[in-house]
Formats: sequence, C-alpha cells, structure tokens
Amino acid sequence: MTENTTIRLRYEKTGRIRFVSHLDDVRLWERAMRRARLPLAFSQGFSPRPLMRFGPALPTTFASSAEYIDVELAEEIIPEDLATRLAAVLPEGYGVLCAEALPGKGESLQAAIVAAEYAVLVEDVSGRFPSGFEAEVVHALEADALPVTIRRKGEEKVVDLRPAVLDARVVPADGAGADVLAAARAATTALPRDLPDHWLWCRLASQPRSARPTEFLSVLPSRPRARLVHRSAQLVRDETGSFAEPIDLSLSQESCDGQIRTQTQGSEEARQHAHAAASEAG
Amino acid sequence: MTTSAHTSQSLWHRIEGVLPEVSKPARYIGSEGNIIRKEPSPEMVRWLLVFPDTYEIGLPNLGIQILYELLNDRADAQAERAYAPWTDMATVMRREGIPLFSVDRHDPARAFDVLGFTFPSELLYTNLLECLDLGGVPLRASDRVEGDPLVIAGGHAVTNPEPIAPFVDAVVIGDGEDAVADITAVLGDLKAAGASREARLTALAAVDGVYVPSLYAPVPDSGLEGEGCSVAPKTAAAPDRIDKRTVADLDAMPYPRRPLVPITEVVHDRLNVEVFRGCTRGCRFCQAGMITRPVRERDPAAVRRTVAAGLAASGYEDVSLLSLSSADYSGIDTVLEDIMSDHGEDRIAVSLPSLRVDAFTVDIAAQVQRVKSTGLTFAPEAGTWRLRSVINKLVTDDDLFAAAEAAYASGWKRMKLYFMIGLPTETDEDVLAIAALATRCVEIGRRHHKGASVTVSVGGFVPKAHTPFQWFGQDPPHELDRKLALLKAATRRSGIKLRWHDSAASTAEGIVSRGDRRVADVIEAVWRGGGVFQEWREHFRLDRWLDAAQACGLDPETNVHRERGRDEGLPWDHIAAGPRREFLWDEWEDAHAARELEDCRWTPCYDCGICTDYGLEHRVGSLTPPAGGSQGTGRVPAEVA
Ligand code: SF4
Repeated sequence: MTENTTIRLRYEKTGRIRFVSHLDDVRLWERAMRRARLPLAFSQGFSPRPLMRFGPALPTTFASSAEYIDVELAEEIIPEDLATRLAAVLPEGYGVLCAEALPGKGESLQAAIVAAEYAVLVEDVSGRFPSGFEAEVVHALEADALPVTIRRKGEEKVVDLRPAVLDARVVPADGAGADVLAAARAATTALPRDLPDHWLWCRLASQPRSARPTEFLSVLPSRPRARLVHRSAQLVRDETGSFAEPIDLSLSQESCDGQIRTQTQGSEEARQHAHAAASEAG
Repeated sequence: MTTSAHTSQSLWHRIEGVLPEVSKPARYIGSEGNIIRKEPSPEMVRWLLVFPDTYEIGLPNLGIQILYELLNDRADAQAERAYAPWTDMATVMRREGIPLFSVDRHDPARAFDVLGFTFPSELLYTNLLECLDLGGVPLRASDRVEGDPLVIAGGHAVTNPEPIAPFVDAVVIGDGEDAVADITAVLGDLKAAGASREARLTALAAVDGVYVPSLYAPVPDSGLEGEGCSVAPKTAAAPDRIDKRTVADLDAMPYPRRPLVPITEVVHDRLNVEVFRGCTRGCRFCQAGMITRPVRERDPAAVRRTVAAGLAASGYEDVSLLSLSSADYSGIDTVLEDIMSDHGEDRIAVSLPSLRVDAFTVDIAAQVQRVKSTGLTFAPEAGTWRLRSVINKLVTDDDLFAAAEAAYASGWKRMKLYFMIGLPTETDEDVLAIAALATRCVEIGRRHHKGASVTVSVGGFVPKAHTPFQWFGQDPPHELDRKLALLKAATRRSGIKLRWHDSAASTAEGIVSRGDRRVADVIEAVWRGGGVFQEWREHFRLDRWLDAAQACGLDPETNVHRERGRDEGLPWDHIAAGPRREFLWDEWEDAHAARELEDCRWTPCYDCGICTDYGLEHRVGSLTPPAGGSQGTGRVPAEVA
C-alpha cells in the first residue's frame, strides 16, 4: 500500500451556518470532499469512512476564521488545488483559508492545539457595551481563582477558570482588532446598527478542556452577555515552547491570499480582513 | 391581490437574534446544498411549500423536493419551503411576533400567494392549524379575505379531505406535479387580472384533481342518525366528483435533479430516487397501494442518469431506490449493475427500502447494501396464511423463512418484522402466530450467529379511505391492548424484541382518517388544547382527542369502531382517488372469504376502474412477474395446497 498524504486545512465558518453543530460540520465536510471528487483515503471495514481529523469542536452559534481539518488522501495533490476544488462545492458560509501538506501524518490537532483566541461582542441587558466592563476584566485577571460552574455529561461542576484565561483585554473597535471585528460583524446580520466601540479580545486555554469566552463573561460581576463570539485563532506550541499557528502561514501564502473562497454572506472585504487579522493575532 | 407577495421581506435579522435560545437552531437557517433562492417578481405565483412536521422529517420529503424544483423551473412561479417550528421555537416566535417563515429567504408566510401543505398522515392535521396560526393566516377558509394566501393541501392523507375541509381553500387529489403546474398557470393569469378570491376559488374548482371544499355542503341524512356525512356541490361550478391526477409518464418528470443536501442531521439522509410509482400487489389494508395505481416504472436508463446527476450534485454516499416495493421493479438488476459500475469505486451504497419478503429479494439486497449492522426489515403484516389471505398480503411462511435464512447467511445479524394487529377477522390464534414466526426466524438466525435477533414491530390497524377495509370497525384500544398483552407473553424469550405503537394513537388516527367535516372541530379543539406534533409521543395524549370528540358530539363507538354498511354514505364518496367503490366492496367480501387476488400487473385486469376509467395503463418493463417469492405469483404454500 502506498503512503497517504495528509493535508491540513484552515477554514472559516461565518454567517448563518454558525448555528450548525460541530457534528454536522463533520458530516458536511465529508460530503463536500466527495463532491469535490478528491482522492480520499478510506478507513477499513464494512462502512468505510474518509480519513479526516478535526480540531477542537467549535460551539454551536460561534463563528470562526480558524478551524482546522487534517484529511488523508490516497494520491498526492497540490494543496492549492484541493482548496480550489473544495471552494466550488462547500455550502455557503464555509471557506477554505489555507491548505498545506504535512510531513507524515502530523500530530493530532486535538492534542496539539493548546489555546484559542476569540473576539467577543459584549453587551449588557439593554444591548449596550457595559459600563465599567474594562475594570471588571482587569480585576478578573488579578484574581487568584475564578470559580465557574460548568455542565459536563449532564452534571454541574465547579472549576477554576483562572488558569485557562491566558490573556484578555478590551480593545477599541477602531484599533488593532478592527479587522476581526469587521469579520465578526460579517458573520451576522443581527447586530445593532450602532456597534459598541469596544469589544473583548481573549486568549483561552484549549487544554485540558476548551474554556469558553462565555464562561469568562459569567465570572464578571455585571454578567454581560456575548452578542457574538468569533474564534480568530487556534494555537499550538512550537519547538521553543512559544505559541504558533498549526499551519505555516508564511509557506502557504499563496493559498492564503483570500482568493479561495466559497460564496458567503459577509462581504468579501470583511473576510479578507478577518484572515489578515487572524494571522496577526497568531 | 395583496402587494405583499411581490417583495422580499426577509425576517432573518429577527430570527437570528432568537436562535441561540432554541434547540437545534440549524433547523431554521436554510443554507442547504442546492438551495434555490429565486428572486420573486410581481407576476410570479409564490408558493410556500410547508411540511407540517419537524425539519428533520420534512427536509428529505421527495414530494416537496420535486415540487420545489419544478415550480422554481417555471418562469411564472417561485417556491420556498417551511417546516413546523418545534415547540420551543414556536413559543419564542409568538413572544417576539415572528411569523411562520420560509427557510430559503426567510420571508413571512403571508408574503406568499399559496401555502401548499403536504400530509403523509392524519395526525399532522393539528400542525396545519399551528402553522396557519403562526403564519397569521385565519384558520378557517371562510374567515379569509382578499390578501390572505390560499391554503392548498395534498398528500395521501387528504384523499379523505373532509376532516380539514373547513381549514383549506383547495385540496389536490393524486399526483401533485401536473396539478401544481395547472394551478400555477390559472392563478398567474388571475393575479395579472386582479381577480377576486372568489373568482380564484371558482377557477381552481375547474382544475382537474382540485377540490374546493367551500363549494360543497354536507348532504342532510347521508350518515347515521341524520348526520350529514357525505357532501355535494352547492354550485354548478363544482364538479360532482373529483378525479385524482396521475402522472402517466414519470420519465417526463426527471426530478429531483439537484437534491437538497441538508447541513444538519435529518432522516433518510441520502440520495432518494423513485424507480416507480404505484403498486398493484393489492394488499387490502394499504391506502398507498390503492390510491397510486397503476404501476408506472421509470426507464432504467433514466434512473441511471438521475442517480449519477444526483450523486454528483450532492456528494451523498448512499442511494435509496424508492417505491412501494423496489424488488418488483423490472429494471432492478440493470439499475443495480449500472450504479455499481458507475460509482462502485466511490464506496457508494445502495439501499432498497420496502423489501419483498423472499430469499430472492434478500440476495439482491445483499449485493448492494453495505451496512449490515442495521438489520433487514420485512413486513409480513399478519401471523397466519389465512389472515394474510384476508388482507391479500401473499407471503407464505416459507417465503419468510427463506428470507431469514438468506439474510442471516449473508451476514445480517438482525431482522425486523412488521406486523399489524386489529385486522379484520383476526383471532387470538392469528396474533399468537406472530410470536411463532418470530421464534422460528430466531432459530434460523442462531444457526448462523450466536447473537442473532429479531425485532417484532406491531402497530394497531387503522382502516383508511379508498381501501377494501374502509367499512371495517376498527378495534378499540382495550382490544388492541389485550392482543398486545397476548403477544408480549408469547414473545418473552431470548432473541425477540417486541416493539409496539401506542394503541391510543391508533384511536386518534381512526377518528380522523375516516372522519367527516365535523371532525374539523375536533382537530381544532385538540390544537387549542395544546395538541401539536401528535406523531411525537411526548406531545400525544388520547384524552385530548376523546374530550374534543365528546365536546363536538362525536362518538368514536359510532364513527370509528362500528362496521359501516354497504349503502351508507361515506365522507369521501365525491373523491375518486382509488378503485371504484363496487370493486372495493367485492374485495371486502373476498377478504371475509379469505379469497386472494393476484397482481394485475402480470395477470388480466380486474377493472378496478383506475386504468379503465381514465385511459391509463401500467408502464412496466416486463410482463412476467419477478423470480422468487409467492407474492402475487399465485404460488400457494405447501401447507395450504
Ligand atoms: S384498472 Fe385493472 S390493471 Fe388497472 S389497477 Fe385496476 S385492476 Fe389493475
């Protein structure tokens, strides 16, 4: 048997399909790969399935410009070709951002990804940016512990969120994060016309469990709500122990230039911004 | 006519805001592969095709997908889809004032000229009212005014349209494709001319296969105790009898070309391709078989093309060849060979639902069905040959055992057997024989696999309009429960799993299936009492139906459980959807004599009226019955001969 090639894809999920669950994502990508007539490698057995491995699940209702899939192919294929062929068949809202051939099978995304970054549109009960929010964030980062109640397998459990909050800050909408905000905005049409001029940026641990920005909001005294959550980056550790992108962005520039797109609801411009900003953030 | 039907007025921004609150939000976003978002224009007739159950059940519905494509292919029409919002969503929609919407463009129901509902079964009728209410459309046709959409119903259940007659403006009897095209043409002209609602209804009544209930009134004393059971035309514009529509040549309808590929999990999530319509096996309980005659096969070459195009457009990994009995398709071998040679390398699996009960059929399935873990399903329907002769389901015990042998030998470890209880002339012996058959199948299975098992699924029989059993007095729930208890006791052994449908649901279904116009009040009362999604156990309560029936003066003893007389008026006498009434009565008598009737596809015509009265004939590729199996081939089982 010849060696399979593994290709790592970074994709976005924006617009109304943010209401699609992770399980549905899996089925959907499998079908798109078949429709694109890629030389998929299959598992053995009665019910052969394409060999695809996903990164950490994106919670339903979150948008993202940093989701990952490793797919095994029975034949070699130029990563850009794969991205172009997928772009033609993906449901609206999904888009391939980068594709890169991995040496060997690569480390499992589930195990390798240790952190994720999020852009969060925050509002109070009246739909406005909460006053005093920035102080609450600063205060939370100074705390020794941030106990939060989570549900796991139907049971409620209190865990300390503090170690999982790697960084968090309030960023002005016209500042460095404006591009991600624009992308987040493209992901929805339900936002108020006058967007708040600040938003929350945070980097949260994905191990041992994926912490959610909504959990972080729930430990703040004013309990602000997340109007929209957009995952803008997922990170692995490189040889030196620093955070790095799971895909080599410098190498795959060509397939990352934003031309490989499916039709999505947001503006092309916003999506290009999203990608640029996501690269910066990493 | 309203101008609201002309412009798109998407509610998406409001819907998106509430989706984080509800379960399975992907149900409401549309975005399926091959979705059509055709821009409406003022000249077009806008159809909202509504499936009155959940998205998961409704999305794969082939009828809706066919009409969706067919209408959107027309220059004078535009079609979108809606599904009944689950109860959590309905609550939020009412709170926020969001009306029933299409999933394609998220336009409100009232933006459409026609709301077209399809009803595969009767218990969905309360959801018709739920959808109308959510849509802001008056429940009763008599309360609707200019500017309100027309409400049109179709599907097998509405071949007795009377229980929903007051709620709908029109009903389509028979195949929908041509009827919907005709309706569109008629309404398009009238829309351009600015015709009144009344003029539109009158024009619809002139379309073949279309019934406009408001033009008919109950005939006094046509039922028991002076009740108005039958209906008759009030005006000359309404025909005395509504004849069903039949698409004679299915190859002229090569749909769906680009199947909708859901983005969330749904039932039957695979490429569904119809290989033929109609069935003349002649099972006397089966409404589908009676009302879809004659048999119309598609050309195997056309099926091959549809499969290839559908797979390419969808990326599906499974194809299901649909019909009422796919092993009876004369082109089955050709089509399976073609599919395997065209797509075998892509790991495409083929499934054949509704398998005939015989070894020959199992062999076909074994060649193409990849996943053997799910088990094979057969429907012998009754436990003894005598009772199977009564219902004309001509499966011998030996056929079943040979099928079991073939299935277990080919690697299946489970089989599922469907039976009915509460059939005409049924004795306890017939009921207990179900257990004996299942036991024997387990024994056969155990010779091949240690853990072989048989699931026995039992449902209470509900007689349906246009069948020979339409006169039968349905078993009351306590009788069904008694028979079920017998069966439970007799199947308490290893290897048999017994599953049953709630006898209470059979009673509610019985109230509606052969009901007359008075049943509309019962349906409305059940809905007002909160009875939506009646096919869902968590929402069904029989007392709601019984209380509503009592409040409306309907006694189930009289209307459901009593055997009807030969000369009694029936609520659907004006609807010609199946064989002639005289033929059905002869069949009813033959049933009592356990006299079998062979399949008219391969034997001379019995003149049931379907072909003979409408200039139709079977379209089949072969004039000889398929090999193997006794069904309809006249082979009498050894123990009887
Ligand atoms: S008219 Fe004759 S051939 Fe046609 S369905 Fe009836 S019995 Fe069969």
